[in-house]
Amino acid sequence: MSSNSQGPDKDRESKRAEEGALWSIFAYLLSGLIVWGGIGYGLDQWLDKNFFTLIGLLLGMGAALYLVWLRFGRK
Amino acid sequence: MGKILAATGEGFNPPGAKDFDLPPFIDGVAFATKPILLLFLSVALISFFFIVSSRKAAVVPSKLQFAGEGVYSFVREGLGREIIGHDFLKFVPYLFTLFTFILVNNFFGIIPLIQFPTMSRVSFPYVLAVITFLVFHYVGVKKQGVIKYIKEIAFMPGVPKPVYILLTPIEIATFFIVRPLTLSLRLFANMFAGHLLLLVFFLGGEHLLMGAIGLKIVSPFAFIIGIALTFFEFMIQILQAYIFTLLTALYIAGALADEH
Repeated sequence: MSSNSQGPDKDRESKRAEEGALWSIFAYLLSGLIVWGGIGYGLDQWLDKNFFTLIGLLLGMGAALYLVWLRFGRK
Repeated sequence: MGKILAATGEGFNPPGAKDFDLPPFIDGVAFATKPILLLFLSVALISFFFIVSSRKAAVVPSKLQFAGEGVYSFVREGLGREIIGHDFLKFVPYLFTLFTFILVNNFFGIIPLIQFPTMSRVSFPYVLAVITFLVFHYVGVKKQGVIKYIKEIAFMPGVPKPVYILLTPIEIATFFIVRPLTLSLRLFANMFAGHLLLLVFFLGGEHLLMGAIGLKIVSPFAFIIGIALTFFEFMIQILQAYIFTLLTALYIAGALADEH
């Protein structure tokens, strides 16, 4: 990074980083739901129950939010 | 919607997924289709434009050179330098190719007489996403070694060990499945939906024009909205090419970074 225009460059950089964080967060939430919801759905099919999908979805959502907080929240 | 239109006129054929199924124009040659032709056309156009714009490069640039360099420096400075940081130069050719290639192929959606966005056929974005996928994982593995790279992805530092059972599957799924999938599907869905939207308004407007006098009066509005949407599409097309390249740059930057 050139030192002559640190101010606006830094601003733009953080804006782009935020834009990237937005998509990363979206990807995390999506994979949380897919992975744990999928595991729950699989358990439902296997054990012939109907509540594991819900548990899995909630678990996945929670875990994904935790992951987002770990990655972007604690600075 | 199709039902309403069908009720007003006789047999309006609403546009749908079938409008993207273009049969080969040479019988028996499976790959001689419009999207593939457009793909080659885009490569020819991009090469031609940038060769012509850079051939007589001068210190005081001509308009053409200015345009070519504008696009190049946008990708190089805005996406390369700002996101990847030092070491960005060797990724600029890939980012630049990706950006211009997607951009021109998206523009085909609103260029008169061509009017088909290549990326609305899902295989093309898939291939682009696979290339990006290979690039950023290769970069990460090369920089940090296989084991350290995988460890970095799968195990977030500063978490009690049992929690990894919960988090590691999500991390793995994000990096290896969701990332390339969202990358390609976002581009595909935007181009597909945009083209379909334009088809609805222009084909619908045309059909209204053929209808009763009351419908004829309404039809210009359909065309006006269609034209407005064309400009809207123009923005989406630029935005999608930009986002694809931006995310590629971010993924490469992430793979290069030692710590997240």
